[in-house]
This record gives sequence, structure tokens and C-alpha cells, in this order.
Amino acid sequence: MKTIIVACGAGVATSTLIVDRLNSLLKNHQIRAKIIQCNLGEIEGHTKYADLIVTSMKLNKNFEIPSITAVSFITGVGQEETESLILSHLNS
Amino acid sequence: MHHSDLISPEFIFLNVSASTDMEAISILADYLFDKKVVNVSFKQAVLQREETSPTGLQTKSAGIAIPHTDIEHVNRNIIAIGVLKEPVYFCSMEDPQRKIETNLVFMLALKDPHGHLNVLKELMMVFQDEEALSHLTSSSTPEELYRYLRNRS
Repeated sequence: MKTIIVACGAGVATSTLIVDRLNSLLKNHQIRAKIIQCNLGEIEGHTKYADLIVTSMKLNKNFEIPSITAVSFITGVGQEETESLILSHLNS
Repeated sequence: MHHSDLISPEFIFLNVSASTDMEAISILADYLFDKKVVNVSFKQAVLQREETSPTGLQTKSAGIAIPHTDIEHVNRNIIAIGVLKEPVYFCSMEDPQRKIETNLVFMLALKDPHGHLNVLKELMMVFQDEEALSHLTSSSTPEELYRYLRNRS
């Protein structure tokens, strides 16, 4: 089972919305994955056992696992592209 | 909108005069502090957060912003809405180098966001709805804007 880190600035509002949308995506595609919700500063502590980072902003730091920006989950603009990108990472 | 206690005409402001993103944030945060919704530390925390993790969002039809900060600065769950007289520039959440012309500010004072997921989701649906956003900016009273949001679902 894959582990996904979902992070935003405060780890409060935006990541909560992204987690919700991600849960529906996983459910619709019958993918089981573990989601860890945190703020940006906490990402590093989780990367060792995670497969993917999904955030609300571009990260100015490189981690050893891939990251995807998912602001489209909130604005609706470009949401399908974000979803396919996430799925392709989870299926790889 | 369900759980409409989070949104109330008392916390909806129309024709807000601000010339910068920081000024718009300050106006809303000062009011929330006056009404004891947030602690004295809230305004500074939101301003600081906006600098390091900006909250401008470009939706299909409009630029909006959702300034907020950590839960420890908040006493009571409220979403304050400010419709600006003239737009200001917020930096983009996705890419802080980008500026987004914004005239709708949703200040989230949240103590327990998970308990309010439905309201956040409703708000997100508003962001994605061109017609709804134009309703918000064209309301002539806070009560009208409030009624519109409440009757949406």
C-alpha cells in the first residue's frame, strides 16, 4: 500500500480539502493508500516511508520522492490533469 | 450552505477599501479580534503566514484569497468575507512568484477544520462556480450575500 503525504502552509484548511478530494479519487479508482496530513515543515519527517507528496504549492526544496501541486482541487482549474498525474504515480 | 453559523452577515464586509493584500488582511483580522473571534496574536500570524505561504487562488472566473493561520490563534470558528472596492494583488498559493488580482477575501478563522469539512467543501464549490462568485461581488448588502450562500444548498 502506498503512502501519500498531503501538506500545506498551516496544515489546516487547504490540506484538509486536498485530503478529502484525494480520498474520493482513491475510492473511485479502488486504490488503497495511507494519507498523512501535515504542514510544509513536517514533510521531511515522513518522506522515508512515503511514496508521493501532494501539496498546495510548489515546493522550493527537493525531496527524494516525487511531489505534485494540487491547487486545482480547490480552484477546479486543471483538476483532471492533477488527478491523472496522481494516479500515474500511484500506479507506477 | 450548511452549518451556516460559520458565516454570518456580521462578518461579511462589502466595499472594503484596501490598497494591498496586507491591508485587506489587517482590516478583517482587526474586526475578528474586536469581536473576540481570534486572539491578539492572530493578525500578525496571518500576515506572516501570507508572506511565507500566500493564499491567492486563481479560479476560472476570479481571483480570490483565503488567508488563515494555525488553530492556536483562534477562539471561535468563523469565515469572514470581504468584498473589496478595488482589487488588490495577492501572491499565488501555487506559485508565490505569481500575483493574482483579487477582490474577494475569505478569512478562515478555524479551530477545528476537520469538523468543518462540509463548510470548506461548500466554499470550494462556490470558488468553482462562476455565477456564484459574481453573485458575491454584486451583492448590495451583507444580508443579501449571506442569504445567497445559505440558500445555495
